[in-house]
Amino acid sequence: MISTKNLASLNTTLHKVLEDAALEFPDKVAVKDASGKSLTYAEFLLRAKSVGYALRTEGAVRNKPVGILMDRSADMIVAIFGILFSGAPYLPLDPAAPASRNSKILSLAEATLLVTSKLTDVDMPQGAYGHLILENIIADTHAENVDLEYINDADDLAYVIFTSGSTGDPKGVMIEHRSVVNRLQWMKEEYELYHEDVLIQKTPYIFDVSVWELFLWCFAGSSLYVLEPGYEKFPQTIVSAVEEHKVSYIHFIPSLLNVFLNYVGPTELKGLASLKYVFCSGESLGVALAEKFYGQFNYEHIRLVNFYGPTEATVDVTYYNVLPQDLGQTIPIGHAIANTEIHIIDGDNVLQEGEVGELAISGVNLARGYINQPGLTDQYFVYHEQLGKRIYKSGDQASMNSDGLIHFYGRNDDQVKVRGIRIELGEIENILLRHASVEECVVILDKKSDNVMFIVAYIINSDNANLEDIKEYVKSSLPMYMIPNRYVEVTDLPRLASGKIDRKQLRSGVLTS
Amino acid sequence: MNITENKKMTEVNPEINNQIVAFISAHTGVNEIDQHENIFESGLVNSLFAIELMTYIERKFNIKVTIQDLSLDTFSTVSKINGFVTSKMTSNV
Repeated sequence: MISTKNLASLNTTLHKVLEDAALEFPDKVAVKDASGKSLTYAEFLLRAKSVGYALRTEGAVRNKPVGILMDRSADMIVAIFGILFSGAPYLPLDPAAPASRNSKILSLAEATLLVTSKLTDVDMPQGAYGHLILENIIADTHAENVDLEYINDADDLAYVIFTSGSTGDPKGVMIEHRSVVNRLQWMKEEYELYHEDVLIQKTPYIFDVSVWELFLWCFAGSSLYVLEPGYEKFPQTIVSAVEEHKVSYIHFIPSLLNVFLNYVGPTELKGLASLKYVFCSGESLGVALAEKFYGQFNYEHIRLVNFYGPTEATVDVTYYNVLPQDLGQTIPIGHAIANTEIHIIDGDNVLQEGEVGELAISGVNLARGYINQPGLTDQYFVYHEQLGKRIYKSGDQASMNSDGLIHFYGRNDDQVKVRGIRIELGEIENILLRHASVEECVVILDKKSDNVMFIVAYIINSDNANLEDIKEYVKSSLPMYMIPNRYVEVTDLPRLASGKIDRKQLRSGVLTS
Repeated sequence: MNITENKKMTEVNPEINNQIVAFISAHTGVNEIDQHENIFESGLVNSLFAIELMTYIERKFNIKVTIQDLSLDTFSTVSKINGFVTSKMTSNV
């Protein structure tokens, strides 16, 4: 039996966990979606294994990512597990992103296989890779296809997820099975996930919050409901999905939880009665939001949890179970999860209790590194002499008290969060600078409130190129969530005495075209 | 039925208009908003704000935004929001 208290028991893989659950609960519903599709554990396993068989026949191997490019559906979950059964890690690609971006990611990851669906219209990325269509594989399922040799170890890669990189190219974080198994098994134990629980998958799979939504259900023989793509933005659809499918565990980015709570009235509250836990991560959870939450939900029935963690340490590494009273000034990010340690450092030094420094992480959750970028990996994943451990330096500022309780204080670089999505403003700037007419530029985040924020690009346009051309170029290079909401053409950028660009002045909105 | 509905969509109810503009202004600090300006494309608001706006108009005008209405295009200009609210209020009567 898997337990976070027994490290050896974590020597397994996500697809092994699924297979074991399918043997225990063959006739239970595993996954269903809005199209009416509903698969039992046995049916789900058969399909996933046949996808695995087809991919392995096409050359899928351990540790070499297989791309997936499709909209959210029950079949998308089948395809992801299918990639794992083939022995390879999955590499999620955004169907809404420009083809050039997806080609870039496939080539950075050196992926040689890509799975798509007939039901998702996509601009096919360029590149030399084998292309498999999910529906064709499933139509061709034979019994012998599921007799698939198990070839993986716990330290094989489970997935590679790309995040924004300040140099202008995204970077692919490599996560091993043992790390995900630890993170998910911990969550199952801490929140007592039970086979009658229902989870909802609503986070786009290119973000790592989706990882626990995609896989946690099979750790307890629970079920998964897959929300229609695009509907995760709307409180109306979330309420009706929770009500209809009796969802008990759900995730929100705090800013979305806020609009959700504003929307929820007495009628909707009744429909949400199946909920047990609301998990927040991706942004700071404010005291006002927690108060609003417990103003509407009764702690005896529905509890609020604050998670924190970077993609580089497998989704989340700290947790705080928010109580309805004594909320204090700020909500901590809490304590480290099982088999994970948090350290507050200042370079080579480990800081004392209460001191604010850089949050560093060690333990089972650490990523292997950035794919095909050993230099970058060595910069962020280092051996710390004083701690005597390999750590990941998060770039986040935090402090820890004597009980190991951690408070988060933001960042001191140009990484920002827009609706929970991590964006390096430098990546947008570097993309802009690759346009021949952009002489100089600065990209800032203009925060009107916790909920309303805009990415603004200030541009010095050297040869007065049409701004529309520059906008089109950016659209063809970056995913939607990184495209500036506003462009301002300027002739000069405000500078500090040091010569650095004065971002503060730009953020205060003084400068306009 | 369709013809009268279309007609209603083009009529501007100044009272509703003022309230929508006031709500957007309060959140953006921008007071002058063109009737036909696409508030998402111009960068005035984002999709998260659209949810706040939906909740606001539901309460303010006592209407229900249903799952069928969930298209950002419906809420992309002051004129379209006005038309949506007006048609919903009429169909409620």
